[in-house]
Amino acid sequence: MSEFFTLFAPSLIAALLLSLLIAIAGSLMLLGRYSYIAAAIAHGSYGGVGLALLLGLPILLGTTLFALLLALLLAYITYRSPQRSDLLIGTIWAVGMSLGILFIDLTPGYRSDLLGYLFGNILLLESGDLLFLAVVDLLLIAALLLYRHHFLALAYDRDFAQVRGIRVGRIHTLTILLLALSVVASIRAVGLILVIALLSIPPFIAERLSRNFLEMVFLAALLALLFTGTGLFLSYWFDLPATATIILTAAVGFMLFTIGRR
Amino acid sequence: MGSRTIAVELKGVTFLYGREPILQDIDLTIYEGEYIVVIGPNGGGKSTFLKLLLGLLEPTEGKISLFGRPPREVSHLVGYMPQNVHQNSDMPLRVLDIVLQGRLQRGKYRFTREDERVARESLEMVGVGGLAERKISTLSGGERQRTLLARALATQPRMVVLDEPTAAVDMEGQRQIYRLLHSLQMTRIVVSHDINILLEGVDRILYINRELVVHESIDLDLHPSGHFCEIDLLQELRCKHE
Repeated sequence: MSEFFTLFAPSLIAALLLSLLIAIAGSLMLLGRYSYIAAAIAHGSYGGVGLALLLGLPILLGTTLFALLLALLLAYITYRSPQRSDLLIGTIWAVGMSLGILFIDLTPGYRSDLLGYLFGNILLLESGDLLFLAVVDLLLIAALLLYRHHFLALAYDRDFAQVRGIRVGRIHTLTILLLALSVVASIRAVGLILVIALLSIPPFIAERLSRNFLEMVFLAALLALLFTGTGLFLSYWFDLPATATIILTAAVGFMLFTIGRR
Repeated sequence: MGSRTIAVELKGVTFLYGREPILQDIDLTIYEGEYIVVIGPNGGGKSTFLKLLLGLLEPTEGKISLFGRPPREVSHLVGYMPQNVHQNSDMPLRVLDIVLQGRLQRGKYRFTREDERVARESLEMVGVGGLAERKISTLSGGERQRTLLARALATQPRMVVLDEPTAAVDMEGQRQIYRLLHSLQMTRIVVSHDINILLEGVDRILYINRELVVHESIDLDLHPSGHFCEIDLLQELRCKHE
């Protein structure tokens, strides 16, 4: 067992940081119904991976800037015409991914680590990745402490929030920017294809068991830590891919919860 | 009425949705303290009218002012209650959390004890003081409606704009809300399909139906034994008291 902790210490730190991120960003995503937007950013960010490779930029930097750009575009579209945004979100999702494929194809040479961006690997995180996760966690905590009543007001009744004088457009944009940063920060750990599952499941369960928002965030963090910790342990024990095992652990948790509630 | 403060003023207001006129060339003045009920068929433009008043929509033509200023600048003076809220039903919010949203404003990030006192008082006013700690997902339709009314009152407004405040509320609750609305001193603009609301101290009735838009009816005989069913403004209402 001590071998497990020695071997997995950096991954356990990543799991801790990731759990906090999942709890806050996932709760904002779920309550504000931003899941589709977050998924579009996650998949569209592949364009940033490709662009960074093509231009020879650090991949984390390229992906972050590209994701923030997508976030601003999505925030504008969904704020201006919320009724017709589904089609546009889907288009941005597909265009981002297509750009990524195109840019990578145009880049000379072959990169064997590209699958890592699609499916992630929590065991291979570097100190820079952990630092980025920690910074995004801090930003999320600060936003939560400062704007949580505004986030909730928007999620519950946007018109009322606007009548109260809340800058609805700014809070909406801030939420999507935070989601973009959260998605990018977790891509290396869980991959852009799998990240939405992990952002969704712990807050979904927590939402149903909590009476208030902070309780939901706290419970979601505990559940995320439970799923990532258990997934890591199972992957070590049975020699399985860590990220996939974590996602499947969360999915089993979700199924058990759903069955148990009936 | 000349010396009274004007709460709402619409001058030549037209609103088009695409090319389709929803409201056309409305002129209207509502004075501070008046109790106005807005009636009309579904799709007639009542909700658009409310959204224009609240600054959530801009008129295509014409000018709207609330207390002499553009609605967006003074919307914080308005307590707004929507007909319903299409939120996630499992949202982890207590009734008190919802009512406290009425105390929120730009630049305010925390609630004070005073905010909580006002919120609880508003819940008492609408008769659901005991529900403060309940999760909203456990409320009945009528309880949720009263919670939204309490949230509007918690803003301590100069004017309330209420969209169907008695929808889904039981008979006793409806009577309580009529009495409450009658007793309030502020300007009240209430959209309602509930004919009974017209019987409790309403000053004027606005009938809104697209291009026909607004009729103002003053001094209507609204007593149940009266003949209001013959009045063209109210032709859509059933003569339930006949």
